[in-house]
Amino acid sequence: MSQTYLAPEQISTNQIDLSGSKTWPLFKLIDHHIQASKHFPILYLNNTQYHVLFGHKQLNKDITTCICIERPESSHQLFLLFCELYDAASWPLMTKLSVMNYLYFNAKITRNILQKEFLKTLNLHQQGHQANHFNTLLKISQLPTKVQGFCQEKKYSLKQLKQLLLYPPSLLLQLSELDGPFKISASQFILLAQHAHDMAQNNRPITKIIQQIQQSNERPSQRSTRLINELKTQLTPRLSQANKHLHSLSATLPEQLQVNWDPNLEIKSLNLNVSFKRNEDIQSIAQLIQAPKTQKTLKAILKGI
Amino acid sequence: MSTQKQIFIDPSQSKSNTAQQIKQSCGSPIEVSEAPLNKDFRSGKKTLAITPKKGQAFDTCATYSNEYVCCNVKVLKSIKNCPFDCSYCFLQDYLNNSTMQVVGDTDALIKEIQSACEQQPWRLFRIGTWELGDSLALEAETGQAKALIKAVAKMPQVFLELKTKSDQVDSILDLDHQERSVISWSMNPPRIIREQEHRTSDYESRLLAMKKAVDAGYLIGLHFDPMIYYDEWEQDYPELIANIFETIPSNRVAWISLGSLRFKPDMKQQIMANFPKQQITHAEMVTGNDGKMRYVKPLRLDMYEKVISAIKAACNTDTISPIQVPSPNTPLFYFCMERWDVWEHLLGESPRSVGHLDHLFAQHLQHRFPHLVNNVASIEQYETSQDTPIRT
Repeated sequence: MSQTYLAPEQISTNQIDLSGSKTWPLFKLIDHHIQASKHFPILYLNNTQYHVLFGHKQLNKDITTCICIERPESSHQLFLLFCELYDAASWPLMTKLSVMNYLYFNAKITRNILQKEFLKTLNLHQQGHQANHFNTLLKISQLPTKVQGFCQEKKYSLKQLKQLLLYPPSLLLQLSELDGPFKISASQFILLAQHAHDMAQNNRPITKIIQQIQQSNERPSQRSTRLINELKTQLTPRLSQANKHLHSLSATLPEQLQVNWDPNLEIKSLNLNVSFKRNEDIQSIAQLIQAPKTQKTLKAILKGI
Repeated sequence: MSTQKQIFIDPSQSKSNTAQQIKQSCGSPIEVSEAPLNKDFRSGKKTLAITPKKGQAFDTCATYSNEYVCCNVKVLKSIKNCPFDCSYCFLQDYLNNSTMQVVGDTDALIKEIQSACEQQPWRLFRIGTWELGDSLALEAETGQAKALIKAVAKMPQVFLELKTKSDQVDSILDLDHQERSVISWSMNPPRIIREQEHRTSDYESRLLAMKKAVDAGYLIGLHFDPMIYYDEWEQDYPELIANIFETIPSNRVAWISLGSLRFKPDMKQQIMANFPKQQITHAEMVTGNDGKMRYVKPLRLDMYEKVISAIKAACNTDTISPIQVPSPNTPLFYFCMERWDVWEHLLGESPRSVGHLDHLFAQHLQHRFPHLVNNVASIEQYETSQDTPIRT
């Protein structure tokens, strides 16, 4: 590993070679994070001339402190040093994954080195089958940019991101584009993906449902809730039909009597809620319950559960 | 079925009958004091470890619940994991170590069965080895079922149930089993076997193995569980039942169970990840108050009704309710993990308790196979010997 050392107290600007300076590609990926925190430019000394390794933008902002290093020989050590110096473990999860994607696909760092050296530095390591874990991380890093942005914004955990991999990227993209007209939370997005995928597997398109809800005057958050409920209803047609029938029966009961039941219809049981205001009402309510019409309706509801 | 790559054995088991069997069928196993740890669900299926019995192996089936009419079958935890790769298998989300493990010390297992019999000398035990694996899939390598069959042949209180999706029966056909072992098959239509029950024996092989077992004098168990919903289920399940009863006579079938696909909600994602092409998780399901997802009740009732009609037709009977006095041709029928109301809707009646259903098994078997069951204890004894859920 290359040594870091403090630069002399003052480096004259003419000691820094800025001629070949351009933003290092990896820096772009963490740029936002770097700007939000305090990090210093990193220079290396070659003979008497300092060269900027990372952090040109910082340098241009009248930063007076920097870190000097000995330039590592191999590119992967350089990248590793970069991650260490800029505290990669604290980067947002999606940033870490983008960095890993860059290192694997663009910088051509081998899978083996990434697994062994970088996952820990990026605090992405995990117990268990490392190759599977690495593949999962790569797949997440390949999600559509719009989806990644959504996940970044909603601060998805790795566990949540893994769940997204169960669904086609095109579907995730379609759903992420709803954010705006719909206000979708992180957990709602996963639920939507699940329902929309189930709908697709049952050859039932969701576009029309989305359009219909989008045209409503509801608030974006209300739209999301309605969309989820609508998809859930459409995914359980038998259940919805049965509940609709039960509701139509219960609507015929006297208004003092209200019934409810397990909407999943798993528990064959009926709860009867009775409201009365005066002692004298008890007798009349008892009569209401015993009335043949009421009994017939209650039995019909119970039968339907 | 010899698909595993490595076989390990605990040194304490190196002189066991299982070790001898392993040596004959696969060569010398590698001695290790702990079964190798496999976190990956599939890689464990390539490793077999012969272990000593650790803790209590004899237990009640884990699905026992106060919410359902359970049959109170006992289990012998003698196998962990399975070489098969069924998409719906709960083991993919259950085992901490996926290495296949078989208890080598069959004598210790048998002693536990004997001890249970001594503690409750009045009761008839049904004991299965299938809770965490397939009873026969590894039989060629381990010979465990063979040892257990021989042992229970001398236990008049016991029916050993060996449940499988394999066709591995050849090595047990010549045993003196005294009809005390029931060879059971978990059956689904050919399409489900092909698409969901990966690496299991195909439909025809299972039917052929079933016939061999019947010809060898064994009683048979049939488990249409999990029933799976798909486009052609309505044609395929009745056809499956008709085919089975054209292959084996119903008077040799001890019992038939029926249940539908169910899994914990978390497992839905596990199934989707492990089997990306499967379609079974996209059906109309709800989460019951036991926390498991299952088909909505109207759909389950439809599916069960079709199967029950087919069983009635195949067994030439008007009723398959286990509460009715059975004819010799009518196997005991029961639902797995269903509530009383499902029983009543489909059979017109339901056992009043878990103890009642357990008792019905004993009565039923005595009625149909009097040479196998001498006396049946009272229903009160069955009901009071355990926590008996009462319908509320």
